[in-house]
Amino acid sequence: MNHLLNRRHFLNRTVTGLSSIALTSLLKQDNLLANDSPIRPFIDPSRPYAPRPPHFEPKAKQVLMIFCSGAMSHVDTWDYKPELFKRHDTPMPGSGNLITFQGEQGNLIKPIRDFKPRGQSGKMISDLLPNLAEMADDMCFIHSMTAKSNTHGPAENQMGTGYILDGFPSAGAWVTYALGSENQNFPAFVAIPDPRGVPQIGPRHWGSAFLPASFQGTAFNANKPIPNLARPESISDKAERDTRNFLKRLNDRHLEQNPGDSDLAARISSYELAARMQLAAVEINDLSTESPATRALYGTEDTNVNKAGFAKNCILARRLIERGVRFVQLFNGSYAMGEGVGNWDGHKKIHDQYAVHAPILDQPCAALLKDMKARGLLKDTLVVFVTEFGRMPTFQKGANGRDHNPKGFTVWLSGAGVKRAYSHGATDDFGYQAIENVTTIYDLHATMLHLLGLNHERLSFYNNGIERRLTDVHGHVVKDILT
Amino acid sequence: MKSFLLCALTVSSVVLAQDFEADIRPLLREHCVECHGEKKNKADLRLDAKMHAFKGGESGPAIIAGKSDDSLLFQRITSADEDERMPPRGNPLTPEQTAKIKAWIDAGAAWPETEADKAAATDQRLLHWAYQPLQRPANARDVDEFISSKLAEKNLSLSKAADARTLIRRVYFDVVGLPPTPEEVERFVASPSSYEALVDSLLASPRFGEKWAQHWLDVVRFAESDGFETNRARDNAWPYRDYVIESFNNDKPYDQFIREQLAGDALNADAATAFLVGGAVDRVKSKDPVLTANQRADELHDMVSTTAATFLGLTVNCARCHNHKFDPIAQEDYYAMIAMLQGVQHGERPMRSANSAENEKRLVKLRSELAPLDAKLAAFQPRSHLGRVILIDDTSPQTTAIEQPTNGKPITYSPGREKGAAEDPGDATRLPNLGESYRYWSAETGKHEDFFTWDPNASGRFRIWLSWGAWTTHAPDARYILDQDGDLKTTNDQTEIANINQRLFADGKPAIPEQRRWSGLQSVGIHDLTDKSIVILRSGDKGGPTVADVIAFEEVPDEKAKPTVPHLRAPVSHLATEDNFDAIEAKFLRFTITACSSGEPCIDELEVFTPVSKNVARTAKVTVSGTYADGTNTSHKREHLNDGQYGNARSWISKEKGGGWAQLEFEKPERIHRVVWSRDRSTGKGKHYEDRLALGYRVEVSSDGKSWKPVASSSDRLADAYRKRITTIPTLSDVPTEKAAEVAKLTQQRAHLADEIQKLSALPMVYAGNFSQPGPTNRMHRGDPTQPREVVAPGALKQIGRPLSLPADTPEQERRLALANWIADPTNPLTARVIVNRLWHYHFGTGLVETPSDFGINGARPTHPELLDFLASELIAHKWSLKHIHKLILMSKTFQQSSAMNEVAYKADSNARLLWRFPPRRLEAEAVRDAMLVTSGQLDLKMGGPGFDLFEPNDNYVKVYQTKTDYGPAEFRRMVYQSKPRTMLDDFFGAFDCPDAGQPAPKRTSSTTPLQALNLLNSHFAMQQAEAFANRAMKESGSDLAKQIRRTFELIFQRPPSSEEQTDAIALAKSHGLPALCRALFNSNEFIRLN
Repeated sequence: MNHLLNRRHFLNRTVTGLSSIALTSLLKQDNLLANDSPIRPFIDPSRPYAPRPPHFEPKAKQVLMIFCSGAMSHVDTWDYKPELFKRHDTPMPGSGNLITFQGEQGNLIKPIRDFKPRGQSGKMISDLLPNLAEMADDMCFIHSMTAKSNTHGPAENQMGTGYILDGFPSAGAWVTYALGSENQNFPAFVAIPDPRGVPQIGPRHWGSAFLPASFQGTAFNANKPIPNLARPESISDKAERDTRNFLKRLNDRHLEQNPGDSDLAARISSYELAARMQLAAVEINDLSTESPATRALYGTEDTNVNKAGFAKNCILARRLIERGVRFVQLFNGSYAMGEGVGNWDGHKKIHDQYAVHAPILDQPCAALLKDMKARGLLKDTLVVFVTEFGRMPTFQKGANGRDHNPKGFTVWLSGAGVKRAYSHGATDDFGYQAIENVTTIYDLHATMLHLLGLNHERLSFYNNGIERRLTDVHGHVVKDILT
Repeated sequence: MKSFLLCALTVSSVVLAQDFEADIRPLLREHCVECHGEKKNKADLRLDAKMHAFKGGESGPAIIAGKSDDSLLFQRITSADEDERMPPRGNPLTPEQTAKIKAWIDAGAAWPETEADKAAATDQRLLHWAYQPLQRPANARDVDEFISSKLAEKNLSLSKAADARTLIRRVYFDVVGLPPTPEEVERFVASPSSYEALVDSLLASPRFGEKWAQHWLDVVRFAESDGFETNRARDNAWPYRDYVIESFNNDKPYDQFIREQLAGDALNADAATAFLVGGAVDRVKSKDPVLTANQRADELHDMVSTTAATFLGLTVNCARCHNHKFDPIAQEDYYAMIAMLQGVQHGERPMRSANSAENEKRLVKLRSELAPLDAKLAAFQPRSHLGRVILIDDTSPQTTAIEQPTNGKPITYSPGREKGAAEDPGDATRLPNLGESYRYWSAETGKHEDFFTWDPNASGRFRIWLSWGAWTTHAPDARYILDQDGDLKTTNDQTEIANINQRLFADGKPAIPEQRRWSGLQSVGIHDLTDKSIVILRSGDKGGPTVADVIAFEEVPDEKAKPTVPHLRAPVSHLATEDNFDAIEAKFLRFTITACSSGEPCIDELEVFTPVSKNVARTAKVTVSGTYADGTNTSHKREHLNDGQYGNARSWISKEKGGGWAQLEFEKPERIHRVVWSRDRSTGKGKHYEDRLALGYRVEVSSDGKSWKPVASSSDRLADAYRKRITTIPTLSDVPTEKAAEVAKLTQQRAHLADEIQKLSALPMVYAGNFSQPGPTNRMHRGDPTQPREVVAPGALKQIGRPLSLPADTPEQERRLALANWIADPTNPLTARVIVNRLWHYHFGTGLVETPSDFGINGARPTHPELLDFLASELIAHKWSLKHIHKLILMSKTFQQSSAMNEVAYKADSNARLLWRFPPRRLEAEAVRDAMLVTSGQLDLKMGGPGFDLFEPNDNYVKVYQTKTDYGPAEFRRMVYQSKPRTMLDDFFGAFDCPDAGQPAPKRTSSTTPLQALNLLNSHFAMQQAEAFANRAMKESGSDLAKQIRRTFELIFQRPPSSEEQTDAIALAKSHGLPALCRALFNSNEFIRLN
């Protein structure tokens, strides 16, 4: 009820800024349909990225989702378990004949780095990610995350799309389908793959599946531009202008002969947007306008090319958020190139593997958070730092690494609408299973949508016989972490 | 107090329980029916009607008359456990209320059945339109009547007929997915009355199946990769695509099409069952049993839901965890259907041809003919030569040197088994491909450069054999120089031994265009070598790519012979290795090992045969140079050498690393001619050993044990490096001249037979699933495979169609056949309606039922229910001919009407659901690409077979899909022949709403995005096609720019340009060339839009 009131209030306040058609359709749904009926946003075909009203007053307007591919170990980073130090190299009580993804388990093994209290809150975080640890006071942890699958493919699917199966729209596609974007020179949803390559399920993280193709995330990063963005070299500037003028006249005449076809008008305007995008996309990747101090903060000149590349991607992410792009997905880690080589999948030699991955992530990502905070971007942006599942507190039998663990892991949020220096939920004494305020990925998605002013049970698209939602038929907003 | 209460209750019960309607029903209605009623029936329990209430729910009967304490209803409303007690929210029932219920039950639970009870007992859901039998409208004649009468209700009518140009473009794209040629357009414009003939010819065109197969492949989520994390390609999934194309082209009756897709293995249509396994499968398996169970449950879920959605338009998938919330589909029904398909596993199986039974018979006969030929040819198998044969490949770093930088990496030969192709196994007269790959240098004319050298490091008299990669443009005069001192700087010791035309094979036949083939070995005479001699490859006078490959040095046994192939024997093997020699009498035989692959050599058996194939080694006395661990190891003993038993566990290992010998003394002198020995000849299960293999050896015989005569050795065998690639050499190099003709005839016969056997027995594989008898199927509580409940028998949906339930032990294939027959039954109310609606959907952009895969209660209602039934009944009446329905639709005025705007009608029906006009639409991704290729004149109409790839090749464990940026003619086939990866869309066409096959796509979205514009403007493909389009227009219209421009418009829009357009176009083409105009035209709305 509270939401509804807020929402009416919000709509009244902002009515002039909204597409009147979208508003009418929304109000119609509100008045005529029951309160739990699906809401399918009205998409103006000529302006698929036009901003659309949320369901109620939002706390966040944009989302930056940072995804660490390969399953980052929570017990070596964010989830402090003193018992692991005490019981180092002893069997995990009650684990019996536990069989996890790769097989049998050895003893409990203490975290690969020490933990220290951080910030004013004194949150215990490991030394693996020292720069990120400094930002502890700005983070809101969920230590009780659970995933439905313990293999990377389905679990990445779930974090990215809500379903463990293939073929469902990504969270970013849902959000931009619902809300459009504030930036009319850019796709509403941008995915930034790691310099080492795409994550394990690749473009499914930013696919639109059965939603219109307009809501696919557009993938590019600091090194690899949008495909087919640039005019071919063989076409001169003048030839391009003349071609576009010719095309415009041709299409305008065609539209005159086919009046009232909104799709034709939409296509004409999509060419104008494409032209604006060509300029905007070049500008956004021009990091020369960043100050040397900023570049140093992120580490763009680092001798580690992967770190320097990721640092550039982090700056790119901030610039996209600054320009109002609705949903930005930043990836750390790429597909499997051998266990733990390209991402956080530390089965066999976690000490060595994490020593490679942590420095790539740490400084640039911490800089991103710090920089966004300094520029006031965290006021309207929700930052969500996730991975597909956690890792075991034990080492695998006969190996020096940790197996998959979907029963308990950590994600953190920061920025608009979430508490600062806060921890929600907990795993058991070893970090093996979530036991307190157990949270699902559905809950996380529901909370994200809620912060964006969207009712996750109503944001819907009819496909193949079913009203589909990001959260399937599950999910509860994690109210505890909201401001 | 207690007694008072009891007493009070008893008293009141007598009074109150009398009136069910007054006392009990209101209680149930108020407190129970919200969750246990018609809308929701939690735990399968309904308390709103007598029949349901007494039947009970998941936990058993709720009411047992006379026994309140045993009645779950009473137990649950009075439970002390808050989690158990009903109702679950709000206050518990008052003691007075529970007492009423107790008393009522104990008094016999009288429930007079009212009309309301009876009505509630009938399932209202079954009254849904789609579950009613088909009803052919009595006065039905044609499509237009139904459309017109609906329009008339809104005071609307059909639009006038579309003009001929618009109509022919529409019917082409609609039926075959391609544009007509300008000439076809002109013919049709001249005689529009030929429309029916046009429709007939398009429906008969092979292009029809290609276009409509694409639609079907969308619906059944067909893709050629596994999906999920690894998403590796399914190389043999494409036959299903061809099956669908053929089926549509042949107008296969739809009921048969259904049966084949569910049970094609029983109907001689192996590829068809790829339908069942067309979905994603998670190849990442783990040791975690819960994960494994979930993965399997997801596979079966995909099969059942796709089957139900595709053929029945039902969302049976909703009943995985609970009864369907809207449709009359119980959870049990879902598991009954799971049981029908539970024996289906993902994977490949051989694809039989149409006459497989005959083939089997023929194979038996052919094999019996082969045996006697082999016996005859055995006499001519090559005997061991004692001379050395040295092969030096261009890839061997020890014995070759690259003198000038090569052009890139070694080039492999074209795939295939033909002469000189990569997998050429050779035959009696031709060596197998020994070259594997070649290197090349671009030689400049007249510049005599030394490119490459081979160093045999052997002195003696050798016949030299050369080989090269044969290709039509290679150097015609590559020179080969023998350099005696191995020093390139000194030239007075150099002799040219050959000048080779590398455009020919070694036998003088010309190279085959577009085929990289190994030349075979050509003799260039006998030469004396010192141990420093090398052979140089030097460029000739004429230049051109000069190539190096393997060459051979054969120590000369007979200077007069003129062999066409060098004598060569296969590399030694860990299995039986044979040495034949001219029969000789011997008392002793010694087998000496001179080189070994690793450690101390091991031999599991040494056999020596007489010409009548008696193994005389068995009874010989054995002495050896020494035995591993001095014979204390039970597996490796001297006695095992000739014990007649194969395998590592019964073998001899020498005591010495890299060498050793074994000597046999026969009981008496024997005439012997063959030795067979092996490292590990064991068969069957268990480990097989290939280590400790004797690579170098010699066999000697003696009559006295003192003077020895060599009879065989490894010196004429291919080196060990060839062992994995060349296992046999069928080439006969020891045939006496007088027998040559006979042997040639025998080998020809044999080759012919072997070829036929190969063709008949090598069945191609198809990704169409494997079938095995499944165990029992359980209902899974909440769809959780770790919570099995009761066993469910295989069957179909209980409430829809004819009842079908099979015994639990029904054979696997029978289940699928039964399910197929149940679906394809003409009385099934859904099957025919669903398919005719799909056809309508693709013809008009929207179905009569807007939700093509959901005909259930939550789906859309048909706009024209009678038309739908008319078409469905027409389908069944015309033997399920889909082409008949297509033609009915295409011949309608509704299809042929104009798409022009009519403002009055638009206000009444803006998206033309009632079809007051033909609804205009954007071309689909495939049609855009195919039409660009047609327009540019580049389209390759090759049908069938493996698809082309829009992605760069990649072999990572998790396949990485990177869109190709550069396309060649191999990619210019119709897009339906793209080998389609799951959930991966290429950069270009993926932006045009291609479904990603992650889930079935009964409808496509049609969006407009700036990425589409960027792709059409800037991609390599668009630029390349614009160029080709311009070239074509110029070629077809001469040098006059105005004519060229007219041609471009005709080719792309099927009309000439207006004068305004002509002026604009001339200006653009004059300034920037015709390709610039063509690029613009590909980006026009008119091109991508269908009116």
